[in-house]
Amino acid sequence: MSAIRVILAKEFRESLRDRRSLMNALLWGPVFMPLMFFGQLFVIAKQSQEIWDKPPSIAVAGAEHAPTLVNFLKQRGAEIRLAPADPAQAVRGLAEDVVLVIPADYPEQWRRGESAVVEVWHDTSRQRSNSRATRVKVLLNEYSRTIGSLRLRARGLDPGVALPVRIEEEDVAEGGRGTAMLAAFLPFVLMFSAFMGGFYLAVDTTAGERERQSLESLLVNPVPRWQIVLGKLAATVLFALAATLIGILAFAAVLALGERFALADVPGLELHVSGARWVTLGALLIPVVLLASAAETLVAAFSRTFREAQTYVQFLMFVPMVPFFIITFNPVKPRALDMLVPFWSQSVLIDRLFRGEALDPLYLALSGGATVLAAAVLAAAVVWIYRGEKLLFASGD
Amino acid sequence: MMEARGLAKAFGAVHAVEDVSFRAEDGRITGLLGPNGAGKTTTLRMLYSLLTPDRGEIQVDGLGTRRDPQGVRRRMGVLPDTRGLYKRLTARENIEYFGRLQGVAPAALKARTDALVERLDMREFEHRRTEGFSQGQRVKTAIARALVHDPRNVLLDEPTNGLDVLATRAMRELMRELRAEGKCILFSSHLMPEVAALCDHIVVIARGRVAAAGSPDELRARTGESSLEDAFVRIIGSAEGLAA
Repeated sequence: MSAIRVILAKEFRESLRDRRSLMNALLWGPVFMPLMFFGQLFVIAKQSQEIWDKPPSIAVAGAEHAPTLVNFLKQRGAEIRLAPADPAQAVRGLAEDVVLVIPADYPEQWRRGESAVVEVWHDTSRQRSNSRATRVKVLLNEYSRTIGSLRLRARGLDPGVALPVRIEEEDVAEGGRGTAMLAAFLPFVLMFSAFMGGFYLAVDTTAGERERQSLESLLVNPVPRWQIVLGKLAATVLFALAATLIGILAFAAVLALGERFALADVPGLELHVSGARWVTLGALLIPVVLLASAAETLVAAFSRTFREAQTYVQFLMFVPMVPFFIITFNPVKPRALDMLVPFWSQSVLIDRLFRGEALDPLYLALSGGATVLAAAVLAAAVVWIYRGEKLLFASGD
Repeated sequence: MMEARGLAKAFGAVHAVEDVSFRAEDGRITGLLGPNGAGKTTTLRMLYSLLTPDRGEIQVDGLGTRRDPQGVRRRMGVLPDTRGLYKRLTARENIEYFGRLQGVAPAALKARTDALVERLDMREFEHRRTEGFSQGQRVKTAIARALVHDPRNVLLDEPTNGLDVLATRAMRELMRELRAEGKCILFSSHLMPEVAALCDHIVVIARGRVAAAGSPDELRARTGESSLEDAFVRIIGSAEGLAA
């Protein structure tokens, strides 16, 4: 057993001396991705805040044709500006996000009691233009309904006559927009970190050692092959664990900062995540780290060269993206069977966890057990490769 | 003491070794001489139990490689054909790593490494990372790594390959010193002068078989040739692949 420790210590020390791969493993995935997430969250939150909470500034052409309407908009806090001559050009050229045009025949239509036409010029291909247009349309609809009700009442009718269906919205999302985004994003980023953290060591300690021709000397030592494999795997797992832990801490830090400073005043954006949930998250990810490391080591041990191993192992990193895309577009209710599929089960459980649900201990055990078992099978396959004689000749000597 | 009996090893259709038997005694330098591709490296790899023979037996100090491969490995110091070092570790760290894997106790490891660094004249570069080492520095480190557990038996695959004149002399000197300590030394070479200068016992290998074995004098006498070179050519049947 002490040979495992000796090999682990050596691989660990050797990797620590390679700054570039160290940065890659411990910073790129685990720190950069949470920052990106925060950036995205920040932009979306600020944008929605700007659009919904701050009084809008609307460019209006033909304001003189509808003074009542313009007054209504002003009462609602809108700032009215004079629109450029060509609304299409102004929106397309990014000078305006939205332009409200009141045509010259508006007063005539209004007087006759017909539906008076106003035009909202916007660009559906632009997120901001879209949101602003929605805001303007909401105001216009409100005005329209108010006037409509007044007209009906003036004729002695109940306004409900013209409103056969009234919609009341009930939002059941727990934790609001912030944690919902987190629920979709976290499993992907942290699993990616787990893969990224072990990536370099998995390749370097197997295909790399063979390519640098130190493998034969190593195998001449009186150490059983399974101990050699476990020592190398342990070093990979240690790096992957470190990367995952850094990822969790980075997320927690970024959220705490966001809650404290930039995003505290955005309504409907809940960012608080309890310490217990972070701990559960960590526990869920340990089996993932084991399996990711074993899978990377197996693929690298199979490869003929360092380059080849790098290429193949990079493909593995797409694995955690699959559940990410499925859950983002089609959230699922977890079943026992789901728990037997590694990466998928953790994605589902983390999604639930960050939507504020309590997790079934049986599900946690099934998910962890199945994933650890898969990791053990892959590790056994690596030992099998290391017991064979082909290992030495794979680099083509 | 190392003994091979009837070794054979094939890789697919290629019969690398067909029938090799010999004894390497303690306190002697035994040379495996043969042209490139004769099966020397494959024979050595079976001896240090990296490859399992298809047929035949190997005994090292009375231990069989099939029964007790780890015991055999503990009794051997090996300089393999591929002698890559860990380039982000210093020369000393490379040596100590293998010492630990051989199970050398920490205090003994320090003393042993110091002694090897001294003996191989490595003080100048022992604390430098091995990346960028000269060929001579590299081989010294690899040799020290192979001897760190003070093995009874020493196997060297083409030990002077790529060394300059000075380093080659130092390597030969080391082998003589190890012989004086009573160790069993087995090395392979395709260089005739080297084998002639060093060996007490020569095993000539050609096309996977032992073509002849004996002391330099015996080989000369047997072939009736006055020079060793002519004797080898006579034994092998051609001069192809042998370097003078």
